[in-house]
Amino acid sequence: MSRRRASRLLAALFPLAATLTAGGARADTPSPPLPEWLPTHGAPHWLDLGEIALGIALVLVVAGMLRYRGALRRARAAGEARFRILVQAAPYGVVVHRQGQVLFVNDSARRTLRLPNGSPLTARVPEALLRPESPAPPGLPADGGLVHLALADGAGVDVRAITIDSEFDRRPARLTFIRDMSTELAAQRALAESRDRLEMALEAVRDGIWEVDLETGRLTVSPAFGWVMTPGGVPPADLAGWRALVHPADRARLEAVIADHQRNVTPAYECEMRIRRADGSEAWVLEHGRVATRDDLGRPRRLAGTVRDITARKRAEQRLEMRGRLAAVFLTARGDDLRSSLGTLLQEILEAPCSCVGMFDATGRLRLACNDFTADGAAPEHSLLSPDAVPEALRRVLESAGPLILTETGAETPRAPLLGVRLGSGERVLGLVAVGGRAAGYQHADAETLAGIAADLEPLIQSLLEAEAKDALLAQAQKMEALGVLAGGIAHDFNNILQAILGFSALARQDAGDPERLTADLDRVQRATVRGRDLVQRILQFSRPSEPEAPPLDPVPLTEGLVRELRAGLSGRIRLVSRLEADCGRVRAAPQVLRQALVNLTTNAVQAMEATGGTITVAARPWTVPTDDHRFPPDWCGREVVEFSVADTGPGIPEEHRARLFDPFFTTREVGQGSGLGLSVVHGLVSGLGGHVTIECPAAGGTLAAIYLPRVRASGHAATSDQPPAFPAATEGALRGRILFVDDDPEIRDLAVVLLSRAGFDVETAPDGLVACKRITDRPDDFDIVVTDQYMPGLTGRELALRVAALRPALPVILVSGLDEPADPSVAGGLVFREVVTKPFFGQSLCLAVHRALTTGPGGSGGPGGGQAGRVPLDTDG
Amino acid sequence: MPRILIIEDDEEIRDLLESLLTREGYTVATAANGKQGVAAFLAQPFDLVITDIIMPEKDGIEAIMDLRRGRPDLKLIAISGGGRAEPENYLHSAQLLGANRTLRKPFTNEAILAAVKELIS
Repeated sequence: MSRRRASRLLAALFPLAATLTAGGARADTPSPPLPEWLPTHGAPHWLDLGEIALGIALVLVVAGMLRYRGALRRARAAGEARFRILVQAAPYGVVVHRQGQVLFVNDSARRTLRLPNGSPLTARVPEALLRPESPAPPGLPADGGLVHLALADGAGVDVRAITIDSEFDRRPARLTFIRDMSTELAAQRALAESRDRLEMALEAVRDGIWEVDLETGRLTVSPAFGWVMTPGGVPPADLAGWRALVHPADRARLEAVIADHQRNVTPAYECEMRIRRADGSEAWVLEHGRVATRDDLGRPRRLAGTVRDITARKRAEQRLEMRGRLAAVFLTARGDDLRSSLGTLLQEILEAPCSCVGMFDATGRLRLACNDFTADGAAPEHSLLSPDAVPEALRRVLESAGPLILTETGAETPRAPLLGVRLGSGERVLGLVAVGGRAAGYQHADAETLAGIAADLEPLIQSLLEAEAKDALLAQAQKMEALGVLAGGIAHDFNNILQAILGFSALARQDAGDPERLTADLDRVQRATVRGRDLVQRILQFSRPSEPEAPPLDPVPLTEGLVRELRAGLSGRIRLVSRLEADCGRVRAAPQVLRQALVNLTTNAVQAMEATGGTITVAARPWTVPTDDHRFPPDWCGREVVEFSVADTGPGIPEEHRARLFDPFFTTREVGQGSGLGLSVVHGLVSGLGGHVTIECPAAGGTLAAIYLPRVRASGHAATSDQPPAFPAATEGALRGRILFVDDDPEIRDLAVVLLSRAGFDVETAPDGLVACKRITDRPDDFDIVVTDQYMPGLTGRELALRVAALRPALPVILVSGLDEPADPSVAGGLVFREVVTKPFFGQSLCLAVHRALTTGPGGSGGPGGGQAGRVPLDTDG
Repeated sequence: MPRILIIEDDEEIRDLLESLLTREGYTVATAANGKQGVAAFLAQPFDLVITDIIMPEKDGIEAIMDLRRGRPDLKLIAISGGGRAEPENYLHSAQLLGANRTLRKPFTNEAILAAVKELIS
């Protein structure tokens, strides 16, 4: 304590005494700085400062008293009255006493001792004060010991008392100077308590205190700093040593916030960062700090603050965040997306650098592997979770209850340890999660985090599994409902069809005498029958899309014929135009399948324009899928295809319907207006052909539907039957030929006899294949052609055809096929059938097929049985 | 001559009924859905209405409710081939709402003519 400072303090305490010491020695040593942040961040070795200050005050009291004694001495010499006045005016208590008798008490002492003015003095002054054992020797500061005085009112007061020998009324007396120390003591106690509390608090949170001299880099730290930063080791001595502990990835961030703070951008700074401890473990710390002093130019000189270990909190935060994000991932992602989202999440959560994250199913099969870069940005050399290497190691994880850190020893190249944890739902083990490749390896805390992830995943997985089960039930229910709708639509349509047949055939009977009316009635019956056939066809083709393999087909003639037929049935308001490139190449498709797909697209276009009218353009062209066309799966890029498009000028497709276009039973029409099989049938048919369908609504309006089928190298000639049945140009007269018609259904046999006889053929029937074979064997030259049903008792149509081929190779066989049989002759029977006619057939198609088979046989021969191939009558049905 | 309105969205059935009833001497008008049917009915009176049930725009049930309103004497025949439900379900509803006769499709020409005659004579 310097004398200058002491005198300044003294002046504050004792103005009079200060005047007495004026002119004393000057200050001789500089005072140490007092840290500004001391009240909140007092370091242990500074904590005695309050005590020192108190001591200073006491010493000053004594010094002041002693100096006052000199003044008194001088006053006494000047006269008793003046002495009294001086004593009275003293700023502290003075009790004058002699041999235990109180002679005089000044006002200050009265206040301290709670003595009312004018009260008798004797008994009121506590005796302890009047019996000092040994007064301080003159000229020396007394001990200044604290005396606790019990006062008359029951209270107590702590005083410093100094007694000196002096004179009063020219006789020896003792002067006891007293000063009430209650306030100071209270302050001291409070300070001590506060210090204790701070120490306890710091201890409790284990905050470390530090101060760094920015000029020298010297670091001063509290013990707790070491506990946080270098447990069990030696704390760093300088700033560089400290910063070396900070995780490289976090250093720049820390430096940035400190720089901001030093430029006075922020009043203080704080930074959460990872540190690496000597034992290799990683911990999270929170650093608080601020500039403690600046130099005269405002430059920071010293930085001080605290560090706190927040590892536990960070882990908890990570886990909370992870829980939320996991929930989000599970709620929004499905299938492969789910796995990859989860993988990304795990990588982040485990605080990369991990070079990989893997998820395995319960069999140890790798389901997901994510490679990531290392901390330095270097690409990993390999995937630790290479499918072949890992399962063996991970099997151990599956068998273990908790997380497992696997260290591969004996590997050719040393690999970082792998951390794996079992992923399950209840007793059910679904797989495991593994991370690997982190340079620093994995610690117990990482294992805990990963185990936490797995634990958090469990209920999510559980609910996911339940939800999937529910989804499956729901999907099934929806399917059943859709089937109900479909059945309802079909029933409705079918009953109408039957109604028309029933009603108009009854009218036909009435109209037997009126050929014109009769024809009209029968037309209606026939139309209703066609409707019924189409309805059945739609249903069947939905359930049985197509044959897997079909011979190459030139699609242009088929499309041409189709457009021609469709055009005839359109109302005047709808124009149908075709733009077909002559050489489109070949596609591998059964003709009736492609035909059905195109019919459906065109029908949709017609329906779209029923109200408004417009133009439908059917086009076909060879094309190559560009590499950047996102309407196609990636493996379609650069593929050579044939594009079939149907464009209409209708109203387009409302946005809300686009996603459901290919749903099996989706329809915008009323029940009974159509069963909604159109586009889904197209999709099914085209998929069956290995093709692709697109539906677009161009900005210009309307709808553009397109079918893309892979183009195949033309091999030889297309099957002649690729072409839809075309009507021979104006035909007259009767056809010639001897037909053996085989069918187990007597109605069909009767019908065939009528139809074929009318056309001019000679018809003989057989109820099954065996009878037919016998006839051919018995009378090999009596038949020019065999027409057979496919499904019959005894032999099938195909078996019959094979037998016929053995008996009489030149005898052509035509198949009358049900709708559920492939109609392409080469497909149906491996070239055993010359032609295929689809049931229900009408005279025209059957006669045409027979005629074609007889005239364009494999041998290219002309007419059969001595009869020239005549012309086919256009309407054998009527 | 009694006037009959046929409300039916299926052209074949419409034509069949029209042809059938015209031959019997009735004056027949047709409508392709319930909405058109009700409009036609309001434009001019009919003695009997034959209506289908499942139709676009306005179905037969709604049409019957509209037609029956204020016309307790009107004769109504409902016909149906069903849809999402059995024809009887629809026809039962139609009966409750005031259809005098119901016929399930497909019905014979004789059946519908008998019903018409019975109601109109």
